Amino acid sequence: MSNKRLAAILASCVAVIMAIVTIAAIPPPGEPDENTAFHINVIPEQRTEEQEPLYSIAGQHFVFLVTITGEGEGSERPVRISATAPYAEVVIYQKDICEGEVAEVVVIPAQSSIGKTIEVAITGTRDSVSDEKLVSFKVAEGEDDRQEYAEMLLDRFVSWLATNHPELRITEDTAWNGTMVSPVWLVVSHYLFFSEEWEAHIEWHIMMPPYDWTRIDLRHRFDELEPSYAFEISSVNATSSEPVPMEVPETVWR
Amino acid sequence: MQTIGLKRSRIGLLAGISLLVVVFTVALTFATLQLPVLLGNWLSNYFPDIHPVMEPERVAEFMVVARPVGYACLAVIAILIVAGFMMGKRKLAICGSFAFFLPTFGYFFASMFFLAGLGILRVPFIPFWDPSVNLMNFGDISYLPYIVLVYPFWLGGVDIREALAWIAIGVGLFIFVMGTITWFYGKVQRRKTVDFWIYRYSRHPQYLGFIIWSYGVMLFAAQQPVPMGGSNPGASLPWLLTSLVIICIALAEENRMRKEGREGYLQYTVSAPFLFRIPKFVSTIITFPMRLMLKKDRPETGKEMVATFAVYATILILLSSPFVLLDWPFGIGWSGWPGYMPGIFR
Repeated sequence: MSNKRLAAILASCVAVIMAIVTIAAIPPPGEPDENTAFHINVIPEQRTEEQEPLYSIAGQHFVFLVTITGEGEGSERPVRISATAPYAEVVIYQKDICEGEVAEVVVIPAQSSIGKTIEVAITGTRDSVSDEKLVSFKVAEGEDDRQEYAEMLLDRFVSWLATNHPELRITEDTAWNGTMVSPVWLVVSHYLFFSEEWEAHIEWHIMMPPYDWTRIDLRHRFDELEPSYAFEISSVNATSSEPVPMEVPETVWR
Repeated sequence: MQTIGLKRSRIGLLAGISLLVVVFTVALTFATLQLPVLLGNWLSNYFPDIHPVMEPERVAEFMVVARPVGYACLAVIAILIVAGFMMGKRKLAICGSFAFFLPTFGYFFASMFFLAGLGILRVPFIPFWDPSVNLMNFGDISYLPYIVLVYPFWLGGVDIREALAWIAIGVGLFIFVMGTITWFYGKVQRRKTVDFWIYRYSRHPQYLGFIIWSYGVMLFAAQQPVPMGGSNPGASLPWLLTSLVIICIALAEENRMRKEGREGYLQYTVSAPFLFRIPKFVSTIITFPMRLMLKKDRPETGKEMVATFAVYATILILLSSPFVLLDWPFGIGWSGWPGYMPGIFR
């Protein structure tokens, strides 16, 4: 093989690779305003000094909902959400969001964080423009002792929803992943479950029948900030207690 | 009586070697996963973690030094590989390719700053981490076997992602150790061509073992969560290029042995596959670009080797480009793919 031929082959390869990289680096067309300002909003918001702080336990998945609000003429380019939280693992779902979309920042405190306050810095970035929100929660000592009961309650709701609300596409085969929330609440217990499509908040009243009610509210993930459905079983231990629709809570539970 | 004795000693030898292979495989698998942890803890003393949000100035200060070092390291690695091929110095190319893959172990160390602790090994990868486009993903076609194996199980509710990485590491090391021991045994027996045991199934079991082992390591690296909430860029491109270099080295070795006219070597190449047995039509497709370019079945000179490497690297990068252009997998990248599983949060 001559040097000339080798040079031609190498040059062709470099040209092809450069072309692909350039195409990948060019932003998508139709985005005239790259630096449009925006704000990020986080739910739950940072608690004031007068308010009771938010709590979690180590290993719990503390889920923050993040949206953006544009200013002036909105850019259609998505905002990339990132987050940091010392002493915790951070996982972000729906990392690139436009207006109307909801990202989920999941903060999982490590064992070493017990007794500490986790400061979460959530940042939205679009090109050179960024906005940051700080939120925090405390990590209490404790363990998840509610999962089994919460799953039993979820199963009761799911089997009923599958039959009575097929439009929600929740079936008995829907996979759910649960996490404890509000570890310091004692009379009413709370638990969150996530499927690919829904966030389900289950709460139950730790009381003798007929006051042992349980409720579920459902939020459609990635496009809703608050629940859109809610149902209640008036007494878990009553023999013929079926879920009935109830007033939908105005906010998500954390 | 003598025949029975010989048979027994042969069975004893095989049993001993098999035991040795298993012990080495288990030990090296353990070392693959544990040494990075130990080394990472030790390196943390010299490269401590920095919180990029709390101390951005320290990060910027560190990067002023790290960036040119990274570019210099990558240049040295490239020179080692290219010089190794052009000059026919196989060891140079092997050193270069291993040095190119080594930073993958940096992914095993969880830290806020990507160069803290064992993460410092990733300095040569800095040139690939351009903020506008992640060059690392230009090797994502490598995940194709992973996708094919993981996805059907995932649909059935079984998560084999981590297990697959373990198996690849174990199988790779098993083949590597088996190949090494067979080669040594062949040398002790003064054979011109080692063509028995595992060499009956692969002409380059040690290289094959390295490629499979490094694939497992690459999968583990891609599965690590990123504490900053960012997506894990993975290390598919280094694995892809390293494997290509290793294959080119194996081809160069074969050329040398063909030229030397080693006793029985040509006959051996007919009966044993290059790395592992694949259907004829697949091998025809794989070698087509080379035959088109060189008008022959294999590169024979250093220049042809460099050209072959460049063409195949370009083809594989082209095949990986859909992953980059479509930004797939969405969300947290390969560490999260294929997504939710029953009982697993991410």
